[in-house]
Parts: sequence; structure tokens; C-alpha cells
Amino acid sequence: MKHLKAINQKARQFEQAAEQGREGEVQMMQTVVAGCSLTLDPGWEVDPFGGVAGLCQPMEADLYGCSDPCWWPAQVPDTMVTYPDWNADAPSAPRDWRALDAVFPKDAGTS
Amino acid sequence: MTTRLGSLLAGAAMVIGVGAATVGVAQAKDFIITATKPNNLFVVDMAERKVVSECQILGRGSPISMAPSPTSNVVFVSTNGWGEVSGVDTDTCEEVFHADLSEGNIRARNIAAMTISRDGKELYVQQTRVELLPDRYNILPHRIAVYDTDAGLDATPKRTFEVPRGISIMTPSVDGKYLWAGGHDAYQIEIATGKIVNTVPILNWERDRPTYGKPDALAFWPLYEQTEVMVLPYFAPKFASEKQEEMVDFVVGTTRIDLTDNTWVQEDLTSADVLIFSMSLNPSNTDIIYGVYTQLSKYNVATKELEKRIDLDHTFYSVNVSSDGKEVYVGSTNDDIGVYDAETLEKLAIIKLPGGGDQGALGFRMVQR
Repeated sequence: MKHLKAINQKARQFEQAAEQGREGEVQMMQTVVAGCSLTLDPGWEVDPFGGVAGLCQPMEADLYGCSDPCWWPAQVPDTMVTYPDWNADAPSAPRDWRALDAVFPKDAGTS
Repeated sequence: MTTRLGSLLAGAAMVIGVGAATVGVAQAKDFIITATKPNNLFVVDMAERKVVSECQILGRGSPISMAPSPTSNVVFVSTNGWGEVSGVDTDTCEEVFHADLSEGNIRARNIAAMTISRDGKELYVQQTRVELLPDRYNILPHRIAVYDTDAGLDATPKRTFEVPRGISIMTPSVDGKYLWAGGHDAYQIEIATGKIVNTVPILNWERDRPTYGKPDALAFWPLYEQTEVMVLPYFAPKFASEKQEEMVDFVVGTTRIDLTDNTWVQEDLTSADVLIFSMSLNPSNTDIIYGVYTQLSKYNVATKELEKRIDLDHTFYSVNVSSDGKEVYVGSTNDDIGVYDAETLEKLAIIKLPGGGDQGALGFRMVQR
């Protein structure tokens, strides 16, 4: 962690957890998806071998498989609760990805 | 490890064809059940390579979990952001079961374990629950809610029991007494009491495997039905000693839970050189196991050798094998199901699903009719 600097509240909480010896709780939450607020998974950057050849091919094949269960809650809108209609006009990620857009808090379907 | 091919065929519906001069017994056929965005539910005849039933799932799709009844044509699926469960009769497309998992200020989601009892009478739904308080969210223990499958369109749980967090797949044992649940570890849960009677360590395997690092295990696709063996693949670094300083290998292996006798094997397969998301054994030869992701790999668990590997057209998440052991099926992610020769891995067919929507993370299920 010495090369990473927390820039938001959630990241600072992770740092605090490490300082307080509660890394295990953080590790447990990141291993298996447990809901949109409890997942931290970088995604997309590198595969387990440190390269990119092992990532999904194409990326669109993996998009809904990962965004639906909130695997990447920082990168992709949460369609489970907060932005339920984000991909309503794009049932096929490879075909319809142009219909996907960024979201903003005012777009949220629930508060 | 034994094959259940014989009992599968014997137990499946045998079609009696009565003609003018002949009486024939037709072998049960393999069907794949899957769903696509936005909310389409399909039954696919694998021998004919065609969709034979297409229904609309009520509520916003698409599902993450699916449980076909062993005694009827009803398929239970999660819907509406996985906050509800719908039971759909795939013959009539009528909704015959519906349950809202949330109640009052407690919001519940099914992520993503759901299964049904061997007699078809009870539905088991994993629930991730949060209490929405005015000033904060209070995370509640995860639980399994038990429903009667004939509870109708306003179904409520008849009982519940708490389970560890992170359970993402669930299957019933053949004797009907236990649920096997996969997540951080694998748990054998007594259905009558909700008590965990055995835990197979996976994430917490340090005591059993001191020279291994933490595994990466993705227990997400319940592809057990063709062999009654639930296969949970893992990836893990392997070190020269318990000090875990010098990594000597990065292995792929399996935890294989035999649902016929509630025993399990956990062993390395080989060095990991490609990613694998799910694995299934061949029902005609349970030494042969297939793994899928962007490649389809065929391994021998007895010799621990990679026998064959091909690149797929795109990434797939789930893999299973025909009842006769001759064809391998790959699904999830996009709008197609791939059919491959189980021996040579030669591509035999691609079945496109109508509408072109993605299957996403949903793992297909196989039934015989």
C-alpha cells in the first residue's frame, strides 16, 4: 500500500482497516461478490499472469457478466439498485455498447 | 468417482411412442435452459440445435440464478434486479410462483445461489440483506430462505436459516438431506436444521496447505447435473516451503464434491497457463474434465495432463457435457451456445439465441426430458 494514496473516503477506510489489523474483513469482501457496496475488484487492467492476453475476449463478452453482479462498482453503474435502466436499451453489449453512457447521481433511479 | 448417466436416463421421463404397429421407447433428450437480456427465458433442444420454448420473465432482467424443477417444467429465476424470484412454466410461459425477497425496510437480493429440493417441493434462495435505517445501512447476516414451490404468486418463506457470507452457488445432495453451498469455502448444510455439518476449506485452507498461498476460486456456476459432481476450480500460488518466500508454481486445481455420497476431493490439476471460470466432468468418463473461459480445455484428472485445448470464438463462462458424453456445451456471456466434440474439441455448431441479448453471468442449466 505504500505506493498507493487514498483519495476518497472508502479508500481511507481500507487503510484504517489495515492499520487496525482488520485486513481479513477487507479480503473476505473482495473475494466473492457480496453486493454492490461490498466489492472491490480492479477489473480490466491485467490478468492473473500480469498480462492482458487472459482477459475476456472481447471485453464486451465480459461486460454484463461483471457489471450485473457489481463486480466493478467503481467503473460500471450499479444496475442492481441505483441505475436499473443503465443498459435497458443495450441488451447485447457487443452490438449495443454505443448506447451505454456515463451516469451521474441525479440519474439514479433510487436515492 | 462414479457416473450417474444410467440413473439419469432411468430417472428421466421416458417417452413411450405408441404407433399403429410399433411401441418404442425413446431416450430422454438433453435440453439447455438459459436466459438473455432483457428478460427472455429459453429451452434449447441440443440434439436438434434449436430453441423449442421462449418465455418472457416478468420483471426487469436478466437473471443471475436459475433452478429448474426436477419434477415439472417450471424454472425458477431471479428477476427485478435479483430482488424477486419468479417461477415460469416453460410449456405455457405462465408465471406460477413469485416471491419478493425484500420486506419492510429490509432490502434483500439473491446473489446468486438458488436451488430446489430433489423432490421438487422446496426452493432454497440465498439472500443478501440490508436494513435501511434513516441514518445508515445495517448489514444483516446472509440467510437461506425456504419456500414451498407451490406457494403461488405471493410466496413467503416458511423458514430461514443463517449461512456464511459469500455463498454464490448451491446444490442439493442426491440423498436429499443436505445443501452443498460454494463460496469462500464449501459448506455441507443439513436442510432440516440449517446446521453446517462439514466445511471444505478453500479460501481458508492454510492449515491443510501450508505451502500454498490464498487461492482465487470462483464458485459461480452450478454445473453439476450431468455427473452429480460439483466442481469448483481454483488457482493458487505454490511455494517451496511454508515460509512462502519462493513461488515454484501457479497451479489450477479443483475441489470436486460428489453429491451421491457427500465426499470430496481437492487436488491440483496442473500448472495454470490460461484462465478457467468453470469446469465439468464428462459423464461417460469422469477422468475427463473440461474447463472454459476464452479457451476450451480438456484435462485428465487421473494423469493430470492437458489433453486438448482450442481457442473459442469469444469468452464463455459455463461448460457442461451431453448425457452420452459425446458433446461439450459452452454458454453464458453473449447470445450463443457453442457445441463441441467431446473427444476432439472440434466445433460442431453454434446455436444463436433469438433477440441477440447477452446471457451475462448466468450459467445455463441442463435437464433431460
